[in-house]
Amino acid sequence: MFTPRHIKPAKMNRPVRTLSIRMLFFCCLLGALVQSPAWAEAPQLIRIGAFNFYPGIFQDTDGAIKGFYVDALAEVAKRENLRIEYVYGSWAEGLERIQSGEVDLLTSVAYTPERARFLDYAKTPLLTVWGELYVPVSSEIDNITKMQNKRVAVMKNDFNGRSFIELAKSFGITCEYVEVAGFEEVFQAIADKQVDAGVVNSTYGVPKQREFKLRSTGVVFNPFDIYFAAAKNKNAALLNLLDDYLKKWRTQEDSIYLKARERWAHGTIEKVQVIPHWLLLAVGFLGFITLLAIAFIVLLRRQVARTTHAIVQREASLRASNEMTRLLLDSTAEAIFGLDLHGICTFCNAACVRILGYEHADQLVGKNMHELIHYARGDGSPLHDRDCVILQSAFNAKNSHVVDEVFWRSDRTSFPVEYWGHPIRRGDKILGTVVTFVDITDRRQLEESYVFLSQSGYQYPGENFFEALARHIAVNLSLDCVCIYRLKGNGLLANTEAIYHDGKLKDNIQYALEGTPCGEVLTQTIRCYPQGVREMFPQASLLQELQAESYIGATLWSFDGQPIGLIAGMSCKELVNVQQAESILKLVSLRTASELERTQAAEELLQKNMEIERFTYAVSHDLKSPLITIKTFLGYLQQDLANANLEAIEKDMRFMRTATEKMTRLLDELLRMSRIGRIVSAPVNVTFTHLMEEVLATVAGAIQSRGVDVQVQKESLVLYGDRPRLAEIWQNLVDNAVKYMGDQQAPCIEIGIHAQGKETVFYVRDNGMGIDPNHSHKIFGLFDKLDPQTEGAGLGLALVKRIVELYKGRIWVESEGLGLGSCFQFTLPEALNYQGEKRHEWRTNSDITGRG
Amino acid sequence: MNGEPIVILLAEDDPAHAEIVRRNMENSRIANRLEHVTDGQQALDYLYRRNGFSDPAKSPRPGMILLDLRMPKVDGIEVLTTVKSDPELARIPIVILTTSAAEMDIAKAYDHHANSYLVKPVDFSQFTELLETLGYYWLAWNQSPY
Repeated sequence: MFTPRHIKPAKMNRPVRTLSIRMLFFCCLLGALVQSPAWAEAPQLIRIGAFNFYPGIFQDTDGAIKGFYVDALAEVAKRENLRIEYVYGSWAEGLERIQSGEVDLLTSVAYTPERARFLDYAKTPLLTVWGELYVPVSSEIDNITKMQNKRVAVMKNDFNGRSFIELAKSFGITCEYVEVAGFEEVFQAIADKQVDAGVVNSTYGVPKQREFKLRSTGVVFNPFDIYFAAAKNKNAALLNLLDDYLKKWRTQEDSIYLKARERWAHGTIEKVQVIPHWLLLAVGFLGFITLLAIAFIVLLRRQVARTTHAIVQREASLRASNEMTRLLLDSTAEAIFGLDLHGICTFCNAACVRILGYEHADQLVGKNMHELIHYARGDGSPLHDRDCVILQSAFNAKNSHVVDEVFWRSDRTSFPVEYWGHPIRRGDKILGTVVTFVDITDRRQLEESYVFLSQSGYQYPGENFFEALARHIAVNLSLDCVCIYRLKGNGLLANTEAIYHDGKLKDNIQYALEGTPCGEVLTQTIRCYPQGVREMFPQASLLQELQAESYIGATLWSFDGQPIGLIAGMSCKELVNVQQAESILKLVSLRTASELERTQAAEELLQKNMEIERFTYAVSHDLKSPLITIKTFLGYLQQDLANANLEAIEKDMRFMRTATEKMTRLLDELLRMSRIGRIVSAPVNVTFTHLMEEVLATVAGAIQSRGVDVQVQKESLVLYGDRPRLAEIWQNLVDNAVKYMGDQQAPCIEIGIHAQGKETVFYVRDNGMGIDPNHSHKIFGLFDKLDPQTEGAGLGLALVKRIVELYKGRIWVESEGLGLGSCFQFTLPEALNYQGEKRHEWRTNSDITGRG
Repeated sequence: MNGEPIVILLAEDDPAHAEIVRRNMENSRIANRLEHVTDGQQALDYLYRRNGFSDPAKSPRPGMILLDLRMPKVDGIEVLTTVKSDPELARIPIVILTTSAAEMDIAKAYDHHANSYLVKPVDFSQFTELLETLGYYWLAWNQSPY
């Protein structure tokens, strides 16, 4: 900001002022010379009788005689070198004085024959006047007839007064007349209510009526001329002179006489100065000189102003340029500071001050920056200035770039920094160095997360990936608690894979997600509540328990886009760097999701391996068992043959036959088992009713021989899948039901479908032996049989379970207990997913978009 | 050893194998009474005198148990665990007689304090020899707690 008045005005104006002082001195000298009366002749004295005849002539309150006669006479006196002296008195006194020779001249004298006897009159009248009757503004008098018996003031010996008395007489009106000294006294008497009306002449009445709050009645009379007059035969020359001037001035438009009359007649009481000729000359000259000086001054001032403006502009643009440089420096996100060759800070920008934790640049400028911000390494060991890359870059005139050091803040905490040092050159000379730096804490955190991911969390021995990750996130983002969840079933429950809280790993828990921020997260990839999260989710027990203020969560997506878990972080404080937290969670969530999938797959693989192991074990046992039987009884058979023990022989043979039959069945079932998932027929649509007809046809023999009543629910539901494999489910279940019917007198099997929540559940219910709930978990295992007496190798239900699982379903059995029948229930989500032609359209579309 | 020969409880689901044991005892002239149950559930019922085994005369307390591992309902290991963890029954010697030679089964059996573990041989003479030796060892030489 600047204004021109800030620019040293005294200095700029000094020559101008000196000049004007000199000119003034010169003019004064000139004026004094002009005023000198050295060449003037002694003037002739004229005495004039003055009386109050406003505005022609009157005595003002200051005692001076004024009026337009006086102005005109003064002009005449100036031109004719006369000296005028006024003798003031009443009109009557004036008449006496002219006769006694006390005065030379009277003004405003009306012509009467008796005055003509002792007076000479000038030929040109001074002016024409008439008498006028004045009353107070409020008076009712507006014509002469209303004047009967009124008191009227008149001036003593006044021509006008006399004329009014004559006029009244001619109308037969009688009035009481009060004589006073002059017109002013007449007006004063009316104003003071001593009289009802008064007579003055028009020259006095018009300008003065307002002053006394009077008005004219409109009664005018006796117009007459008034003249200059002198004593008889005494001053004829003076009268002739005055006559000449009057004649000329009365016709001349801008004459002094008419101007003065104009001015006085309007009641203004300005003084009319009659200026001497020499003074006018002097003033004119002085005015010219002053104008000249002013012109000179104006020119000079303009020149000065122009120069000043240029300087001011130059300064302003310089200031603006400095301002812009400062703004540019302060607007960069990078911190910048400059050092001289001694390592002393010469400037620094706003980012530098802020990042280093100072309040003002003055705290850094002039200081040794190495000692202030660069005195130690990240581990706290001292960093000597001889090892300081910044200082070296100045001395060696080389650019430097460092990413693995720290700077120290004013509070003696450090932060990782990336900085660049560049020498400042002027020509060949190095003036210092400019250092640019950025706080790379965020980048370091991300890098650490990268390192963590690349090492799969192995830096913490004895912890699995999830535990190590929870610890890593908590430490890196300063969170009080980090949980990694694996979703279960319908996604409303989750098991934790790791809980890191208060610097320790905690035991895993199961957690209901409804009403928690975790539940909210699952609809999106990342969700953050930087503050007030506890109040937003009053139901979330974990948040309440932790007294959490902020929350951040990231969903873990499976390879096929399903939410399978989440990472949740909580803090008792507000989350400051939301963006950084989100970046890190996004970064780790991909790897974490794949780890969840991997561990899930590993778990499933383990299950499968165990199943295979169990299978191998069971097969080896179940095959070995009949083999032992056969071989042993072969031995007995040999003995019995030798003894010719027919009964024993028969028995041995029976045991051996049973064993071989058992082996055959076992091998058959194994073959069927191996077909599941290996031999796949093309999937087709089949209604439930059709499928059941097919199933019942295959097991018709067994049903009939046991006399079982089979009820099938009529249902138009369409199943989609490998038809023979689907049929096998019901075949085995019906077979199983018939087999375990026990001694039921009215055996019955019900087949149907019912809805359970969102799921479609199939069921096969019988009223047979039922299952001891203690053993129900075993029945789906390979070769598990509850009744060793029944036929079959114990693979039937295991087979059903495998087919159901192939369609992503599950199977379970409900039984009230032994003898109370059992109900096998199962779901087949995959067989219900796609129906009709629509399925093909969907597949085609997805193939085009590349999602398939 | 008192005068009464001990009762042997055979828990075996395969009737053929039970017949082998029975026949072998007969051939070896082992006169001990043999009680046969066909699954683990029955074995426990027998030992705790439940579900038709309540008569002490019909179901006397065994002095030795021959226990198969793979049985329906309750398997051999479960029976073993139950018996060995019950102070009333824990002293009864339990000889595992099974087709399984799996290391896991052997380890598990001994972990649960099985007294012996025998694998049924596939060979006839070996099987008969085993059963003979078993009889001599456990019934003639071995000191029974009962």
